[in-house]
Amino acid sequence: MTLLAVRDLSVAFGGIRALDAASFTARAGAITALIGPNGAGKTTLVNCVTGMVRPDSGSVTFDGRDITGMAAHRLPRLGLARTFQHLRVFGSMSLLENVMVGLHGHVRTGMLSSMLRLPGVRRTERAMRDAAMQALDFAGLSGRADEAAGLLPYGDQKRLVLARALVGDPRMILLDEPVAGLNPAETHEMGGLILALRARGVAVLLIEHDMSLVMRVSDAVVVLCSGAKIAEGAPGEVKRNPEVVNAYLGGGEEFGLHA
Amino acid sequence: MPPDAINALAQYTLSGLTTGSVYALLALGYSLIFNATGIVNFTQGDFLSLGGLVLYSLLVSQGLPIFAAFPATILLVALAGALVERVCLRPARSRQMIILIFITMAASTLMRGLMKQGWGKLPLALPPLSPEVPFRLLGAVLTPQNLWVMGMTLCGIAALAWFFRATVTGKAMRAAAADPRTARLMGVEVERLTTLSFAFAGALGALGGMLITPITSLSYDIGLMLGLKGFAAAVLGGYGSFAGAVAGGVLLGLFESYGAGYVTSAYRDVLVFGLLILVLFVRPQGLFGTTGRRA
Amino acid sequence: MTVPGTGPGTVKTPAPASSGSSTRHPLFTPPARRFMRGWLALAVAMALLPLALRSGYQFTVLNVVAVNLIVVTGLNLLMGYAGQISYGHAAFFGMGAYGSAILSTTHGVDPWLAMGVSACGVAVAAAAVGVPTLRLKGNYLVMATLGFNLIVDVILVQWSDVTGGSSGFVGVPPLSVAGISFDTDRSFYWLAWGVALLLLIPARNLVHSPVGRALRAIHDSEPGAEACGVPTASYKVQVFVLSAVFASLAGSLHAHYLGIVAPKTFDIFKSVEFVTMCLIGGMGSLWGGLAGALLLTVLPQMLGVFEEHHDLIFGAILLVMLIFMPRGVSPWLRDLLKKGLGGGKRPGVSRDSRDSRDRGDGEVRP
Repeated sequence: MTLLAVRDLSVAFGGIRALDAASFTARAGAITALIGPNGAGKTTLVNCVTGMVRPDSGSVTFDGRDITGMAAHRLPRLGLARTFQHLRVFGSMSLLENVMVGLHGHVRTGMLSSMLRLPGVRRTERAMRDAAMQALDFAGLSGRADEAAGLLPYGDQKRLVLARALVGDPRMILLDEPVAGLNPAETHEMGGLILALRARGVAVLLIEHDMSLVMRVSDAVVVLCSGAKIAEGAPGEVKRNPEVVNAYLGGGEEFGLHA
Repeated sequence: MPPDAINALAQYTLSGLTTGSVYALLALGYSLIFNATGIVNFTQGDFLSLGGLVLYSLLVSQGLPIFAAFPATILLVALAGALVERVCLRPARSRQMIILIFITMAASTLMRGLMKQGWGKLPLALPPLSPEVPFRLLGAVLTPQNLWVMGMTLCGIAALAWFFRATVTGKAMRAAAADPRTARLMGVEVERLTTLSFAFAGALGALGGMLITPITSLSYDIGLMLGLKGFAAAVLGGYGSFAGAVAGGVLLGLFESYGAGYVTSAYRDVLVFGLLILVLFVRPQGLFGTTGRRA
Repeated sequence: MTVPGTGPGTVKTPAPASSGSSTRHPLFTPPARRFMRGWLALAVAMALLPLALRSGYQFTVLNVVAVNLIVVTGLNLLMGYAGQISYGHAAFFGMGAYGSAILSTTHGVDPWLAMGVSACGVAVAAAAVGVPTLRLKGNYLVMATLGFNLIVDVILVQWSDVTGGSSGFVGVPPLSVAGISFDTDRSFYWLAWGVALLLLIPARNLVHSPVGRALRAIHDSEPGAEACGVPTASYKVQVFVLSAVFASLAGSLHAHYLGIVAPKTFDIFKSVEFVTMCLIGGMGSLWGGLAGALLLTVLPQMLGVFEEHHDLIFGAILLVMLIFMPRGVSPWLRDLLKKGLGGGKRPGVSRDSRDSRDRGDGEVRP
């Protein structure tokens, strides 16, 4: 079943076409990797899907619902969560609090009712904390729930943002370069976590440069080049696609060497 | 148009260009420091007051000739600018933007306190750069000081432009503003350049102060409102952009002058800051800025 | 409401220590409880303090502290928690004061009603200013709020038919309840501190709620918060309006207490003073706000002796504190209190990690 469908998405920034009628789909419960050389438009595509950039034309459908140009904060509630390449950890807050914020789209609470501490606030807090602890446990961080997120090592922060995206029990998580900057051991561990997400029935849209990881975990790979999709298919097929090889070689990047 | 209207228009334009020049100098100071540090420096207006006061002391108390007192004042206030950076901002324990901005506010209060201590509260009379012989141009009454303000401002801007384009240090400053990390990797001493930026901001403030205080008046707090309007001019033009700072300054000066002349004199500040807020709403990056992202 | 993730089948391993976790997670509720203990102690102290006070002047100073505390409590929610700078809160303070003064004096409206109507008016004004302004960041937000304050200031001076101009507006009636008029320093003391203490409670509730946490998340990373489902734009405006209403209420109290309002009390320097109170006390700490309001109200009073050197001494003290104690006096006071009570150190997020947000979006380039 198709969970995310991107159709003919086009975006131009001051005459530069970042996306040129890009289309692809991602299945529910599967890991779909989105790859492409630098400047291919991956970031713009992610920003369109997650409501950070409004596309000039085209549409994004999630779970049968048109989410084109929808405000970013409404997406978690619909079941679409994301992480950032630049983490966006809440540095002054504890790990537990970080993950609890991840539930914010799901709690019905307003400023006024919070100030009056209407009944239910405390119960909500407790339920939120339990859910957050479980998500931290998934990421292997539950032992450090009270530590300050800003002081956490980089590798742990990467897993923290994963827990923060996971806590709302989304149908799909968009992972923006989850292993960039990680060492091989941490990368391997992250790969395991991504597979564990799929085992829980969470679909993953993986934007990643690390080809060995992409080849290891993906069910499907979408290749983007110059703002348009040039290939789509199983990892093995895509790797042998001459157009893809050409795009990568042309871009001066190695592709599939350690796959 | 009847001759009276033309006279009035010319007069408003002239006075707008004069104050606009000073706003432009201040706005350049704000932009310089913003590019070096990313913060608003609230001592910018105090550099202006200090410029006027130091010139007063050198000219009137010390009896120095103008051609010596003028550059000496610029140097002294530039030194004060460097001191603000070295003594107040460098040792700050926090890198939080709001704290750093507030440190400059505290430094501004301290500077005003020191100036009040040194020069007293009463207004002083700074003589103009050349004997006051008013003459008429297109019906507007012009004093030589008006010409001095505009001329010297142009010289200051030209010197600054030359510095940034032609000298190694100037190029390094531009590089550091664009990307401090890379600049540092390339061997640019970013810290030293930050101090230099403050010195330049001080010099620009001093220039403004020496030029405008013979027209307005001279006291320890004259730079307060002028400083805020210079800040407004920098924002109007696009914070951090040099061309924007100059254009913003001149435009703000003209707008203020026309507004005060044709609409309402009592509410001139409302017009100025109202325009500014309106521009911010419609075009947050300023008239000439490319992006308001990092500001 | 639903909290997904707690449903069956979504979680493979149960949280290891969900029972007895209140000891493991002191971030959860205990701070709120600890706050209530502190609040009660403060309330008792303020109730007993009049016994030790002798002169009406001491009451006057403490009344001003209470009024400032109300503004600072609101401002702290905006700056210390949500991380949005405002150099325009004296304008809201002034609008509350003038609203109350004009309505109750010129139009004969009951002072309490005047206070409420002013607060509503300020809420609308704050929303109108906040919606476009809070999209701006950093220096632009500083300029927009400063500009707003300057505009209000000029209007208060120039619109003299209504506001009384630069000499001020006189003859504002005092507030009264059931025939008791709060028209003396002593009687107003009870009202001012009653309101100030009362308003600390909703502020505390907000801070220790999911919304409060979301506000702190906005401070640390706005895109991060947005992606977590926090409606950042709406929250920023709401907390801005809330803090403006606090300022308005304080302004009304100020007007009915002194019986006279003058524009000089509401210029940008007053705004800067409010922000200073937040900073010196310690942003993101409601107790810090109290420390800041106390320190910055009493200190200038003491410096009043050196009227001529006020700027000099005040600027120097402020500068040294900001350079060397950027987190304000509250962490320092907390350590002192801990040592005094001999209490062990609690685990949890150390306040030292607060500055870790410097790596975040508000990063200042080196």
